[in-house]
Amino acid sequence: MKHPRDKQLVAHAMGFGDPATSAHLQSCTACQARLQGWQQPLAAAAQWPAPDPDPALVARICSQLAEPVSPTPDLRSRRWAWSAALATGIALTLAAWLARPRAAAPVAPPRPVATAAASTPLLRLAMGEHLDQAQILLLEVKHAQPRAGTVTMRDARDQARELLAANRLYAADASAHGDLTAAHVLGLLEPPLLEIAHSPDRLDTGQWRRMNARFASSDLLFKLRVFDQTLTARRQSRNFEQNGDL
Amino acid sequence: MQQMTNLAGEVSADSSPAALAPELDLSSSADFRSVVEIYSTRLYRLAYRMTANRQDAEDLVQETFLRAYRSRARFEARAGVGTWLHRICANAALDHLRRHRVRPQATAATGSEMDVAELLPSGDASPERLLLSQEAQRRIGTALTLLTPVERAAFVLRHYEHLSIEEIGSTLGLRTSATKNTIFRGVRKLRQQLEQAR
Repeated sequence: MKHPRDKQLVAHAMGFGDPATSAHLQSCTACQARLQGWQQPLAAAAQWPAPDPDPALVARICSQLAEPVSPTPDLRSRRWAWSAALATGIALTLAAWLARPRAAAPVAPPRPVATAAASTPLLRLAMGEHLDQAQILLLEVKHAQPRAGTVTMRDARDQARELLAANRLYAADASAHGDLTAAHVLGLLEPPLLEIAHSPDRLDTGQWRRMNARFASSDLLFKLRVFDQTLTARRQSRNFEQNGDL
Repeated sequence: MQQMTNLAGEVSADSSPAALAPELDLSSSADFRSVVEIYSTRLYRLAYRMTANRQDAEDLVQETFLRAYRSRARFEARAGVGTWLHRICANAALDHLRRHRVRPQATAATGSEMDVAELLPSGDASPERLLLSQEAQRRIGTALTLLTPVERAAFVLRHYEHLSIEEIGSTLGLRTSATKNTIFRGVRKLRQQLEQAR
């Protein structure tokens, strides 16, 4: 066998070499020396220690999963008064319930709206955060600053792709739990997320304005805000009832 | 015990990400807390080796668990909780490295000379040797930051996390041959950087 290439020696040094190289190294002192040249930096790198995390990290993560996520200052400043939001939330819930599909009789009886309360607190928290992020994204797109006649969509597009996958999961979960309101609102959110997720790197200002006009026509931001407040109210109510539940 | 430790001095014989995975119900908040307790240190070390920055590593671990929580419905038990979390963490770290040109806090460049051979363990724990070791660690950390994000991810996942080439390729979205090439390029850069420091 001819002498192995450096790539083969590195593979050998890192434990995924081929048998022919291993066999060659048994008898070739020149290649053994070459191999040692690769093993030295690997052995040195292996001495690079990783520290232990802060002992409080686990508690912080659990707390992050368990506690309501603080709204961003941008959103906080836009949040409505509690009583008005709650009242509108109830109205939206009622409207969604009235607008539920009734044509085809399902084989099994549908779950009542009240079973939404059976969703886990952690799921409601995660959905609340998801809605916060979606609102931030839509607000960022809405208030983007055009430069040289174009709006950069790259970051928004990446974020929309992440949110889109999560949105479908939450929508499916909401449907499975009979939470028609959540499923409805999440369903409304999907088209704009899809549009942003499939947008090019840059939009000219005309395209950007038309996109925002489409989003505005569905009053989506308003509905998201209201539903987000409703979720928070549900969570607080449940926390109060269960006294210490997540 | 020696045979149970890898070159970095960590348990390796049965420490593949999947090996630590007990049967857990991720829809249970109590079990999810257990997952956090079991895997946070391991993921922190992975994130630290990717970023060389404590705060970034903590942020990435938190992000990993949040992402995992949100997408736990997609989790397939056959993959193992640990493997799944590793994949999320590695990708989060990769995204982070791509977004930021990371300047690690622990790797301030120094002008002192050092032979790679001096970095090797000697068994001598004298103060001078420990000081050298700290200097060596900074140099290694600096050298690793000169790898591209994908090279660094591939190298860390192989050298410290002992993932198979197939697992690394799957995590990073690379074919097997591309994964091997990426690791080779990373090691070659690492060697060049360390040799330039002589």
